[in-house]
Amino acid sequence: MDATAGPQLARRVATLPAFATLAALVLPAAPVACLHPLDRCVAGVRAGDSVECPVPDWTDRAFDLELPPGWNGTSPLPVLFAFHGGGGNRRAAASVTCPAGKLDDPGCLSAVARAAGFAVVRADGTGSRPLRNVRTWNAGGGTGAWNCTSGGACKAGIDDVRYFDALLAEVGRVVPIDPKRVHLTGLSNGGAISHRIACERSERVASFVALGGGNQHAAAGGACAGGVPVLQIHGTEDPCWVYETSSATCLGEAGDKVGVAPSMEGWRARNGCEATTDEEALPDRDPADGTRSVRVRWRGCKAAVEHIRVVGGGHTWPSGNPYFKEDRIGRVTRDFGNEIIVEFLRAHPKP
Amino acid sequence: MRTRSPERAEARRSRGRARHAPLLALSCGLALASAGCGTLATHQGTTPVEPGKWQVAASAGALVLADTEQKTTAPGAEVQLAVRRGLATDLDAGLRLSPFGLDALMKWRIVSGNWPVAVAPSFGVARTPNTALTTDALYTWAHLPILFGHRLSEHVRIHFGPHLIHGYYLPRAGGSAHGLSLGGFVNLEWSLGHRARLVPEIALFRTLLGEVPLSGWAGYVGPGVLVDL
Repeated sequence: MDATAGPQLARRVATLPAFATLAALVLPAAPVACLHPLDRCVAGVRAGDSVECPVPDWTDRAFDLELPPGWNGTSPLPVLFAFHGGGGNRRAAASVTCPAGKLDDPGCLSAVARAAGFAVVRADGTGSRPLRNVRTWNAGGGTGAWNCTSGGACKAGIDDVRYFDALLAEVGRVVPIDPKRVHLTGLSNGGAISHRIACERSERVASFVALGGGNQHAAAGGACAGGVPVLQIHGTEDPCWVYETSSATCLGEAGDKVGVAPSMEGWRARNGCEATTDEEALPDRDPADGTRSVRVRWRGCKAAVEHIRVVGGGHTWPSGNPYFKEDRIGRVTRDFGNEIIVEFLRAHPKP
Repeated sequence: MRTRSPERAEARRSRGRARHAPLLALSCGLALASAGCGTLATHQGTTPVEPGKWQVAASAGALVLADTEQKTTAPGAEVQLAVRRGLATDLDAGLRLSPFGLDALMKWRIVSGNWPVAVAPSFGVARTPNTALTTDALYTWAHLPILFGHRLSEHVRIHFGPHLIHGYYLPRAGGSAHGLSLGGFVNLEWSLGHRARLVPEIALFRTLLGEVPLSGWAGYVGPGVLVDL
């Protein structure tokens, strides 16, 4: 290096703070000028409204709140939290429940639930990095041979039960919540996080419906209080969350996912049921869909434990949108739809 | 808070999906490139563009992004186009366009001679749309590579040095995140005739603080071309 290089470098480096100061002034102003972050929601929403709100202290974890059309604006509302599947987001959670994915279809979960008087909340899980709208919930697992369900949020140890507490509190700031009617549902990772929250917040959750996702949290040794009515809907040919405990998957994840039988056995024991069941075949309304469904009810329960076995069904929402081709996710049953989910939840408030 | 009727919101979402379809396809290939740091590449040497002259540059490269907290590894790609103009003997400035963002560039040669040294700060911003992959968000970033150079032969120079990146993520859905990464790069500048140079580069970064663009490692390799006009 040249003999003059040292002093030359030192002299010129001395002016660098001017550039740093300029950057410090300009950079923070740029985003504020171009983007309007969501304001925190306030009370005063009306029947039929749909609002989009942030959850304070949780970055990029907003939620949609949709209100029933017949609400008088003051009565405490039953609330249904609908959780998206792994790799999805709150918008995906809405469309997957709709026939053909059309959000204006009266058969969508949101429409059926709101018609039944529920407020519907769809929230966002933790975003992957760097593709931040590919989201997951920490539904448990990750110990022993158990799959860490489902991916990033679990591996990073995100406390999604604490997030649920914050979400519930924030929804409660916007609308009055009927404390006896807080309900959960979701597909896959959304079903598994429903199990986990029901386990860990059994004092808050009235009942839940899990689809295509088992109780990974309890299977991996997590605490589960029980006493929460549950309806598990699961396809026997689900390639992504296999009906029996298995490491088979449609996404290349490692580890076992708990099957339907151990998930239901856990709830049977915790909810004080007998070992015997009643089985009822549901009407095969669409013989062309390649599925038929059987509803199983455990007897003598202190809190209901039910399962709809969709024989031939895949990793899909009943009468919902086949978000991938059938050879990847299996069949969609058209024999029943969201009315069964909403009826179960309506029938099972907290005592 | 944003209030809307469900019917209008649903119609808007349906229109939005149709409108976002091409963006989604674009996002699949290119979102990784702009998600939080603009570009990881420098593709330049220590010599500023001659005063009053213009230079255009193009590059394309492959990325590996490994988030050690979320335990994910993703491949990616990035492309960029840049234009620079010489402002003084030791100073040039320009703009760089990447898939979603725009950078303001500057290069200042602070040491001349056999072992020249330059700093090349840049400041950029990108807006990502709400798609199945990306959130409605703004990213800003600041880069500070320090370039050390040396002539290896008549037609080949080598450049290398440390590269500091600060990324800031502001989602519409609330909150914010940032990240500070330190890395290094090496490139070779091959003269291709009088006006053009080929500049292949390899770079590696490690997150020091925060999570933008990720919390872990990032690697880049790819060629670039510089043409003096």
